[in-house]
Amino acid sequence: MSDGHRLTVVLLGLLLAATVLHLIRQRRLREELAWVWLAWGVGAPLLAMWPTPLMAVVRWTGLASGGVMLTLLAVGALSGVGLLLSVRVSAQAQQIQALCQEVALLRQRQEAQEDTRGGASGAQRTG
Amino acid sequence: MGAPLGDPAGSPSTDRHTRPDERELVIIPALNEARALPPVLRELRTLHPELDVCVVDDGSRDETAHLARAQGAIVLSHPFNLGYGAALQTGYRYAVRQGYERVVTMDGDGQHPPEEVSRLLEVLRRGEVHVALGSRFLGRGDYQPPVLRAVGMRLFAAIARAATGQAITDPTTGFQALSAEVLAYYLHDFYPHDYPDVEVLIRLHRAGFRFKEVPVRMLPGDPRRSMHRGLRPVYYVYKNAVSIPMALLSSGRAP
Repeated sequence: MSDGHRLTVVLLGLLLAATVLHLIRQRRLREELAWVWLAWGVGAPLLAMWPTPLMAVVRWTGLASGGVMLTLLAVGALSGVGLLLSVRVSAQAQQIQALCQEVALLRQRQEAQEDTRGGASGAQRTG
Repeated sequence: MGAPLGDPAGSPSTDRHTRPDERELVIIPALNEARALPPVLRELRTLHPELDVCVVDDGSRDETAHLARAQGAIVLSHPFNLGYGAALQTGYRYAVRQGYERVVTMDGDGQHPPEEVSRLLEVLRRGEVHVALGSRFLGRGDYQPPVLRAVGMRLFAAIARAATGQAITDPTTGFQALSAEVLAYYLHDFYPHDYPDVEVLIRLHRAGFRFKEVPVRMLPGDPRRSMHRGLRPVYYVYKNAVSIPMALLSSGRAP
């Protein structure tokens, strides 16, 4: 990996980490969902600066280069994030459904109570 | 985990086979049914004044909820559309909290004639099963589905038969009578928000609940308003291809 490549990876990683931290600070991203992005934002520059562990894995797996390895890691990380988000969205859909059902039941109870009160006051007026 | 059924021999020999404290509820999920629903509700009230009727308005944009209320129905309104299964489940929640003994589910588009309701309830009142499934293919009425749908129905009926060992001809029927034990079982998360069909029958079977089909007459619905129009059959097949094996792998017990 040339110095230019290394610098690009470091800058992109730091930009990613800064963006993620900024989003967390603004409460637009929760820490529990941010860790994969942070790990990537910090891990990629570290591997670019000190590629020894990466190269050891590259030799061990027989891959062509560190770049291919990083690409594979990126695809894996993105797939992981996608799956994590799908799980979260499914859980939230279930929660939203339960909430809506409760809203429907509460609304009906409130209307029934209002009808009873209306009927009682109507009866008082006519009585 | 199927709850024990009432002793059929111990059932009173009245016409309705119900004790005065046993309340029964009709649940009708409805989405934009302002035109078809009021006649159904009127007929239900005329034929079955003893039954409470609950309309679950699944986010309609028309006057469905207002018209149902005007007909004396209990109305549960979702803030937005959640799906047919979710609408049914909202009705089940209501029935369980209000302590109803039995429930009939039917569509609000006029496909399920109110005069058939008692045929389903009678089977449940006799204590034979936990669920009575209204089947349009057992010789009552002359319902003929479109060719493609008929093929799909036969396929899913065959799967349901193989998985449960029971004679099932109409696995997609929404015209059913359910006991209180089944309602409580249906409140769990496994109950699908969209199509509670074969998968649910398999889970019922594995949980030890007993069900059987009852011949009922059904009328053809408006194909433009069908739950199976457009690309939905593709999703339906995909969804079942995933959910049926999951149901077969489940213990049947509610999670």
